[in-house]
Amino acid sequence: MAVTAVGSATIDRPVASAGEKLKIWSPLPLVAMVGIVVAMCGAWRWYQQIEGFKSGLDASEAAFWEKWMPLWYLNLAMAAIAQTTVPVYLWLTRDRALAKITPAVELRRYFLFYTMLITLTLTQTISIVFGATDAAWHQVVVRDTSLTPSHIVLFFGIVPLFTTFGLAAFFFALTRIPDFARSISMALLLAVLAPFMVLPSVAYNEWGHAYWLMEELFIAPLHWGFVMLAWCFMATLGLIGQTLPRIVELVRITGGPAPVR
Amino acid sequence: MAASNRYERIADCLILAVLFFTIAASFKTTEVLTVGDWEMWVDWKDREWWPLLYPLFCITFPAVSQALFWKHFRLPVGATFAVLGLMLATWWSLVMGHMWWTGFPLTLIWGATLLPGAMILDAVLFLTGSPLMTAILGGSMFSIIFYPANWPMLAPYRLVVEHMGQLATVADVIGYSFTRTSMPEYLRIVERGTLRSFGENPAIVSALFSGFLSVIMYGVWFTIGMKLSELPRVKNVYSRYMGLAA
Repeated sequence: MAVTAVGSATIDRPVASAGEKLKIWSPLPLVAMVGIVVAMCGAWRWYQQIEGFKSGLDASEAAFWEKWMPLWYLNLAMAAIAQTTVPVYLWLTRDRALAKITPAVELRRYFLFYTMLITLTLTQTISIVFGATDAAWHQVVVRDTSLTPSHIVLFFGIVPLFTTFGLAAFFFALTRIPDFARSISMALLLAVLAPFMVLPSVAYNEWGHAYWLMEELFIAPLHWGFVMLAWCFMATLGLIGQTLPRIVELVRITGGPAPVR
Repeated sequence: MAASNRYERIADCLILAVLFFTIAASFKTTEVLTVGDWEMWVDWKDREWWPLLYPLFCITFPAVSQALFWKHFRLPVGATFAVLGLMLATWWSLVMGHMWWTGFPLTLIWGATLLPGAMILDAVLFLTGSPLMTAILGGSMFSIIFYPANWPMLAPYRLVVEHMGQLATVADVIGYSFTRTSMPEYLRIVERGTLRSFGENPAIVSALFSGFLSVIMYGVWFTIGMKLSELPRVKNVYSRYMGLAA
């Protein structure tokens, strides 16, 4: 049988024997990952809609502690668990014989790697949509603390969600794709680690808003730390340029000669 | 379909999706935090700063996108592709956040369009095949065309009305009706007396000045786009744990 090499040890070396073919592409992982993201972000947004103005206006009220603080604790716990277990799992189940993998397996892993990148970048897009939604919230509600219905979802929910997908993509590539195991791509490292810059940016933002800028001017220099973060997202574009030649090569090897057009 | 054809198509779709969402996320974040207030509110769409700053900061990612599409695929569609990503994120956030959550009317929050300028940028690259000519002709046109391209949407909000004995525009009155926490900055930056006294001139001057600066801005960001795939790689000292020579 054709054994998938993803997450396998040396003994599970995939071999495509005659009559058996390794399934190089399956849309299921993409559907599953995007489905998780859409479901989680949809649930957060739905909760904001029904509870935002009802119990989220004043952090000193009992209703806020009853409705919003549990969500904050839940988001923190989920972020800590996911960001620890995913890299550890991927490292412990790493492929220990990368030099011997077949082109078909390598192409399959590239496709899975790109599936992770799609989920990562889609979540980053959703995060800025929620970020602009945060702007709308601050236009009508003057902040009292750093914990608002908008921030609890954005900074403690969606941002950890995409950093988790980033870590997953990084460790997947490092432990399962030969090119990334031989040498670490600075583009990938930047794309994955840069989102953690959101932490000092949030800290600076909250500190500034607390002391000297109460009104929510979105273009204020106080917010430019987030712009640097967004520029680091662009490293993913460099990653495409770096992986493209190898993917083209693998497609040619795996699929046979391309028909004349 | 031959296997190679099928895998090519799959790779195309995956790469395009990553490109689209990466550009959408980074472009929208940059836009909203550098010139976003002009995007969000109709009363911010003034004659001095909006035509100057908005296209100037928004030529950045079309330039990066053009560099990527041109370098790797020889396709002159990058600018339009980038602007479509920005528009998706913009309208998604305006409708989901500003309208559905905080209840601002669409007349206050509609977003400007950059599509005509982006299509000109792509057309110049397609016709000349030269990034330099695209910077000079396309870069300047991207910003110059911005104000007239948006004028059909903006014109009704520029109608003059009397508000509490003062001269104002329809956009001003909508803005006064929906007080926001950014209003002090709005009053300081946009509502300056000198701006009003020059009549129609400031928009033309701002658009031309923006066009000049956009040539430089385009050049810088196109170069960044070309260099992105040249980011270095560092030898992995742990590769022996994956069955590779260290």
